Amino acid sequence: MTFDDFVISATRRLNAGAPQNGWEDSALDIATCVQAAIHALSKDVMMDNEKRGLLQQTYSVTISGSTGDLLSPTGSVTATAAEILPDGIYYGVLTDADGDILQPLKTLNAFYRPQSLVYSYYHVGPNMTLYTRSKQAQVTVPADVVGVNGPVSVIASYAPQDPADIPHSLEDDLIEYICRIAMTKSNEKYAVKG
Amino acid sequence: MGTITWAKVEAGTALLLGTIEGADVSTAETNYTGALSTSTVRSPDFPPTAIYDACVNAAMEIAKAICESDNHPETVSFVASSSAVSSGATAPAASSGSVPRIGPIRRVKDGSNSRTLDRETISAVRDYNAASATIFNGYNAYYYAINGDIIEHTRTTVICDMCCFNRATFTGQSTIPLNDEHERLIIMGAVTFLGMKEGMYADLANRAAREFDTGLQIIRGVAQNVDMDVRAMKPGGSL
Repeated sequence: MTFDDFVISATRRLNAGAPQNGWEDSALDIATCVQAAIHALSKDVMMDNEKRGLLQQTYSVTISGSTGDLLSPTGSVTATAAEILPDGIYYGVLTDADGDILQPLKTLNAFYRPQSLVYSYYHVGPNMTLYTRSKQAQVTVPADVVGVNGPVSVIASYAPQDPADIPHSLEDDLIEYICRIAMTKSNEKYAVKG
Repeated sequence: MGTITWAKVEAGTALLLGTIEGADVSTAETNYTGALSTSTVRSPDFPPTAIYDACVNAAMEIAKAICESDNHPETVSFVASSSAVSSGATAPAASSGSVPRIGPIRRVKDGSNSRTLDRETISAVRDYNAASATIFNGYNAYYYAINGDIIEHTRTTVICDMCCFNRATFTGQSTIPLNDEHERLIIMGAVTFLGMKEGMYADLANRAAREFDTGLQIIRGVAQNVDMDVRAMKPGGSL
């Protein structure tokens, strides 16, 4: 479904059975809810063990030194950059060019601390910078870090920029999310007090 | 358009003004059915060209009433399309063929796919245009707004459909640019305009003016009445 299709579907669903509600005049307002709805849906899908795979794709991240940019590469499904969800990386997997699986370290402090050399590690730092650390060298100070061999293959959850990239099985969910956000807005504005 | 010729409404006007030349009925009949000329019109008060002009003016008034009415069945005869209009440009004052616009813009359509745009608030149009590449990227809004004489819209270009009409050019045996039903109204209009010239025609001019004005009002209002009738016939419809 296209952006237009989602707006029309949400508009008609909101208006169903009660044309006096006037939602048909609110298409532009409903359209502004679409991106918010996509992000809300994507986050919920990411948390859902059964649906997560519907919004996961692979990114190939170039490693320069020991770091890479997670916002630059395009996704294998949507071919669009910067859709990756920060939390979604932890629900996926990172593999370096040597085939080693990188383990997450969620704080930079832990990243620069001595760790078991059984694994290579990664950390998602400021502005979605991917910090990598090879299992070949122990680290006690930042200068000790040796990056992994790139590129790093990142399978991660994402929020599509284009509504047309929403899988068919999630289309009805997205319409529901759009309606919910639109109604929340109107309820707050027009709520009957007392 | 009609089958009535300009010559016929001119002759009808001249007859009411009593200016058809003819010492006997046969001559008068011949002059009535033929093209008016200085030798077939009697009174110097109403030379043939003045009668022509009055008839054209009356036709213009009728055309204007049709073009300004809501969905009069004859408005479609006057509808013409503008050239492509960019957002922020002046609303078109003439068709792509340079025929002047009369009355409101009746439809705004996309310049490429002819889909009709919805009239929206200026803020909605501007909000969409401001965020068309971000929030609304991929969303196709078909909105326009009229801001004074400026048209703003959400498409690359639009085309406006509107009623356009040039002052009719008189050619005696050509047909009037209106339906035949307006033959009498044109004559009434022309008599109204010309009758004012002489006090002796005051009664005639007043009666003609009343009929002409009433006719124009009916033209302006008839479509609305029809629309209301149609709506009342719909199941569950209400006035």
